[in-house]
Amino acid sequence: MFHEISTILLAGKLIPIFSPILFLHGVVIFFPLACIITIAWIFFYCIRNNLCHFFAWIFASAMIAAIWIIVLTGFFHFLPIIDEKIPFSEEPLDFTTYSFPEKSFQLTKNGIYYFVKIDDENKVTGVRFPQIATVNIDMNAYTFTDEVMPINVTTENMHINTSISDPQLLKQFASFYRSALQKAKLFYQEGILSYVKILAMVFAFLGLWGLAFLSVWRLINVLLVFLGTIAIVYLNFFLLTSVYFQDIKAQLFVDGYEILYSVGANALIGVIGLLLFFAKMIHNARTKT
Amino acid sequence: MKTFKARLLLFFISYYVLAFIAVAILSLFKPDPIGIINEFLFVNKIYTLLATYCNLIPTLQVTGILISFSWYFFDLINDAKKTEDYLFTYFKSIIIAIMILLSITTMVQEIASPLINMKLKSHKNLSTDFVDYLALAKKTLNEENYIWTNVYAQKAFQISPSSQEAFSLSRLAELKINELPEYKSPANIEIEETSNYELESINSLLQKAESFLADKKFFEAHYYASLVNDIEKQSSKINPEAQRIANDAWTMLTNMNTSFSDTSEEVFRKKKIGYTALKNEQFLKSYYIFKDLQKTVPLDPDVRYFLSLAKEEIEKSYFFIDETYNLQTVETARNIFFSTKNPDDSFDVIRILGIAQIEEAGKLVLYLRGVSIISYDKNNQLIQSLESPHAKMIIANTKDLQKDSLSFLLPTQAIPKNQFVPYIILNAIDRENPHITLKPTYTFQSPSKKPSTVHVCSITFDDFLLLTEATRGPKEMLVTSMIAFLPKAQQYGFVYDIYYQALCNRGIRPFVYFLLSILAATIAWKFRLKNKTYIKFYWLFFLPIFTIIIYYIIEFTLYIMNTLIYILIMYNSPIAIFVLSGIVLFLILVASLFFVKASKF
Repeated sequence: MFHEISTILLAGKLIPIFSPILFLHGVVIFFPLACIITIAWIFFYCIRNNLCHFFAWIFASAMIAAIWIIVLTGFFHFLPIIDEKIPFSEEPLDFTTYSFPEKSFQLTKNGIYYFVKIDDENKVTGVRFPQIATVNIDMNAYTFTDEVMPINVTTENMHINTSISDPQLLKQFASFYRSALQKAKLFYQEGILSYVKILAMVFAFLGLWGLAFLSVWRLINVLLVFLGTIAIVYLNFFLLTSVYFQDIKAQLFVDGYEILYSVGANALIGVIGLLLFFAKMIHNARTKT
Repeated sequence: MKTFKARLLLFFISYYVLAFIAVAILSLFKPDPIGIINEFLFVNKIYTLLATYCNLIPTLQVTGILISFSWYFFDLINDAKKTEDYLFTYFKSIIIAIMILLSITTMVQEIASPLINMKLKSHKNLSTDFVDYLALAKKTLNEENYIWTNVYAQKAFQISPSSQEAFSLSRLAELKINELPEYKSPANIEIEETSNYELESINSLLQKAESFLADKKFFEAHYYASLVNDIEKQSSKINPEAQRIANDAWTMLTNMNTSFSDTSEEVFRKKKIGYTALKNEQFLKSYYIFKDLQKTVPLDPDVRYFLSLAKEEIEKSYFFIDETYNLQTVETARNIFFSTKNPDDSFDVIRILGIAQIEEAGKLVLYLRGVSIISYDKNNQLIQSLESPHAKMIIANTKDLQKDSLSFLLPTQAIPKNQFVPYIILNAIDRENPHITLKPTYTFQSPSKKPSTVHVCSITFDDFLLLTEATRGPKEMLVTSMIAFLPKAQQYGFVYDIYYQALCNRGIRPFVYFLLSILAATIAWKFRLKNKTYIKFYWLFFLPIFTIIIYYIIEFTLYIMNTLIYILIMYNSPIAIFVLSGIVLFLILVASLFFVKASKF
């Protein structure tokens, strides 16, 4: 989407710089992500202040559980209502009004264009040079007069394509996040039994306690919690959404058992983490005395 | 303070070295680059390694600050507390450390990185050229166009001297050329000319004529005397002195005619033809006559003198084909395009495939490959479109050009007087054989425009050099030339915003690194080692993970910044830079405050 907006900007067409609908839409989309970040942040706070004791654990765990169970469920509950109130139309963008600036070079994959004149009907006069400067070209320049515009700004302007192309990792993340959110929405609509699969992740999050106080160098703990959070979310949704696993899942899990596996696996991570945490807590208490 | 500084230094040196080793080991497992010939394979790999490492330098800076500060803050606090104003000492040493690292990063990014990328690109270009030249050589061999087979094979051989194929093709072509019938027989020379010559002051010319007459060098004497006559004729005056010298010399020449032996007579007759041609400004014809004469009488001073004179003159309009043979390996720029506006509002669109620079007798000479010049008049109507496989560019002073017949090409306002301009010579000739010529092909020509052997671009030579850099793309330009180019971009047919945006992108990078470094220092402080702890060995295994994560964080931040720049420029380019610097300074201020607040003892 961003790419499209940039393209209109290049075309010299103004879109409102701040659109409240677009902003609200963004808030809605990123709300679950914000929840996950908040959970990680609670851990970072505990690591920062060395809160490796029982009361901190009770308080922080309650907060994490509240965020994941109450806030997130609330979000999914209100989502259809919000969607209704704020219609977001994904209209295709109109590029017909665009014209290249006259008397300047345009680099495209098909060649270097120089438009001398572009008239109202988008007929152009100019030159095209081959893009690649190897020695083995028969024709250097091709001049044309009043021809139909040979290139399309949206797809062929190498400037847009190279200078503001989204980073690969970001693209992957965006597509993953989109599909995960869709799936979570679907689970919520299917009813409480499906939605439990999402809620079960809270056990795994609580298991991160085990990583939070592992090393004396607290930066490592931060890193481990950070990677752990990503791993929990990614693995859960990868297993829930991936097409590759559909066949295997169909063979392995009888209907309904999927929930059990999901809850069980997350709970197992949680228990292991908690054991680690308590062991560390007791160890710390002993060394102090 | 000593412990902190020493430890920090040790950490950064070992970290940078370790990272280099890691990159080197990883690059061993990379597959060979595609499309690089064996000649460059090893060098290319080294440069690829360097380029990868250069890309990693900012990441290393931020990661290094994050890790080392979190390890050594304990030392720093202990050190700083010994001094009186310890808070100041503490911040000072942190800022100094960040600044030193930042200057290293910036130098690597702005100087080393563009150079390495240029090298990598040239490897790729030369490799494709080598393949293409061999293909062309074979193609021309099949077409029995042996002269060009030789040229192409020579060029391929120049790129890769170890190539047997190129060498044997070149040998074969040379043998075939020597068998050519036209190469053996010297020729009747009928060549149309368009040319020009420089003028000296009349007095010095007259003096020369007189001294030559005294030395009994009658050709020279006549030459200079009639030169004076020609000039005087233009202002409809007659110089009696010049007239007299010319007459005397000519009489002597005609009288001498009879007193020669047969061979000398033949030489003399040819000399006279050559001389007449020279005097009638048929420099090309006279050049070949004297060149031919030089074979029979190599020591004749007249022949030598007039040959050099003729050569000097033709070099203003022609260049020798063999000059282009050896240039491929030194091609410094390629794929250059620009448009120039002439004073009468007509304009030329010029595209050059490759440029090789050579210093010739203290003068810079540029050989161009694949030149296209497309000219439009002020009503956007095509006037002329020409293409030349090879051309030579010399640097001419506008002061000299205004005297001769080419001055009409010169813009009077765009280029001030006494400026150097690119002067492109389009026609090439052979040193020996008048039949071998290389002329531009005209794909379109309106009747009003006459073909010319030269083209003077209406830009200054400095700007031309800037353009060769600019067409490499904004990412590979040096920042200094970018700043110089920016105000001229539109004038030469480039979209201003693209270069403005690229400059902003480049300019903002150090600030982004500074911002991230301060944030890293803040995080390092927050999660520092509490007690004096020895660094455990297993911690080192986390270094690469930190490095990778920071790498992506930097990429992401730069992406956000680039997007911001893009939007700002598209909305309102003049104030974009101010808004941008405002935003960046604000962010840095906030980060610094955050850091100060966080790092209370």
